[in-house]
Amino acid sequence: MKQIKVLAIIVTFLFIGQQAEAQKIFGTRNGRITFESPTDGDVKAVNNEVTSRIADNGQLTFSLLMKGFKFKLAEMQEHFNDQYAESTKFPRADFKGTIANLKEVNFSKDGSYKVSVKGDLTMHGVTKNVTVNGILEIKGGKPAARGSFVINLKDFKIDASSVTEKVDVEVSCQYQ
Amino acid sequence: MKTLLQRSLAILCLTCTTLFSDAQQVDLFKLQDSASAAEDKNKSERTLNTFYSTRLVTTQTVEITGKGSMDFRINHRFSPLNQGFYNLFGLDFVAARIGFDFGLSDNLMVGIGRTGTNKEGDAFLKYRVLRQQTGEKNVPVSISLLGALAYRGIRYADPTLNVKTKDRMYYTAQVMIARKFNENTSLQVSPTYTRYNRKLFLTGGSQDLFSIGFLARQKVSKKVSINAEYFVQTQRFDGTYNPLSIGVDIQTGGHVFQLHFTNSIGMNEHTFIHETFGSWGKGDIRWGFNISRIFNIGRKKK
Repeated sequence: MKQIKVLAIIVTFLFIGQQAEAQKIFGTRNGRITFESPTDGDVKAVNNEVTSRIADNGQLTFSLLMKGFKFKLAEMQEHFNDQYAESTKFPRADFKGTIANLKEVNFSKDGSYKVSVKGDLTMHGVTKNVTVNGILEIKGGKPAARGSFVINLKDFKIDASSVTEKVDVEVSCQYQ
Repeated sequence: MKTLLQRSLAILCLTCTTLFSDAQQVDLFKLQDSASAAEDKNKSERTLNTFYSTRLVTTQTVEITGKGSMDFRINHRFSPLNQGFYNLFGLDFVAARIGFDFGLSDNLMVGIGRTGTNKEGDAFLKYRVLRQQTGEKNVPVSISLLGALAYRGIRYADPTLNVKTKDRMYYTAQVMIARKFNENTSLQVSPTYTRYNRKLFLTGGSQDLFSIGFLARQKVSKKVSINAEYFVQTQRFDGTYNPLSIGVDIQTGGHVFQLHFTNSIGMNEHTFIHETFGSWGKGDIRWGFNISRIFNIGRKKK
């Protein structure tokens, strides 16, 4: 009998747990991040396998494999991984941020919201605080994010000065 | 017994509560870390850049020219250093091979080349059958196969030699087995078979020759490596030596400069391995360099 009582308690707790879980989380495994050198248009790569999650508490995360960046030229891709990003040593790039102006975003109402995301970008073993301005679009209850920012490669101890000093990064994710 | 069951249920109960109170506020930052770690555990990673280039000095490496790329290669070998100042230590005379390599797919390449010495044309096909990788699927070595042929075009003055077209052909088959031990050190072993259809002005040896090549690369910085290659022949033509080359690779963007010292003048497989008449011991050492420039000739994506 006692066992049944205890089981009943567990079930109750389960219920309470689910009731309390109001947080909404959206994610994708094929977000898109591209980068391009502002000085040399041939230096351009795209990664279509970015894992990203966003929660209505304002948290936003991105993670990708450096080797997932595809270049037009196979040799360029090898140089990128071998010489600059050192992808074997530092396989991942990772971003953890929060929406600074969360109050202006309503996740349950369709619309286009301007957002400013502040957080830590880790790449090539270096973590740096960055701010990304972008647009969060809610459509049918599902968010999509777009944004762009500039990376100064020196900040991440990547010495590619013979190729380019900076890259323009563009982010585009449709969440489910 | 009953109390034990009760206790364990109570603990379970507590765990559930804590679990779900956590679930109320999932920390995406922690979630990302654990998800990435789990993903990294299950992935296999291909080893890149076992060698900088498709040749170490003269010998083919396991590397394949990228798909859609053309590699324009110019190789130079000067005369031996021991010729003294009159020939500026060999720099007055130079032998050259000009070649074009093409990457057909991720694992297949072809190349053609022309060497002035003996007016030889050569062509080869190289296919990567296995690529070193680590992770969930572990492959310890990369393996590529090479098939090469050369045609000796030089005119023989003596008509009694009666040299036919087939007498001018040379064939080489090679298996390349390489391992990148760490970021800096790579080694390769290359068992090789070479066929001479006819021995012209060569004595000893055999028309069917076997050899094993040993290749080593040691990176000294991100863009510079020191290389060495050596072939051991089971049978040698009279007066020939085993080829030994020691060199430096300097990588700059789309170019690779390869500077080296070698006792051989040949720049295609059969001449380089089996027709090396210079000896390191006697100072028949040549300075040489290769330049490789890669062009993108594949169609643009999108």
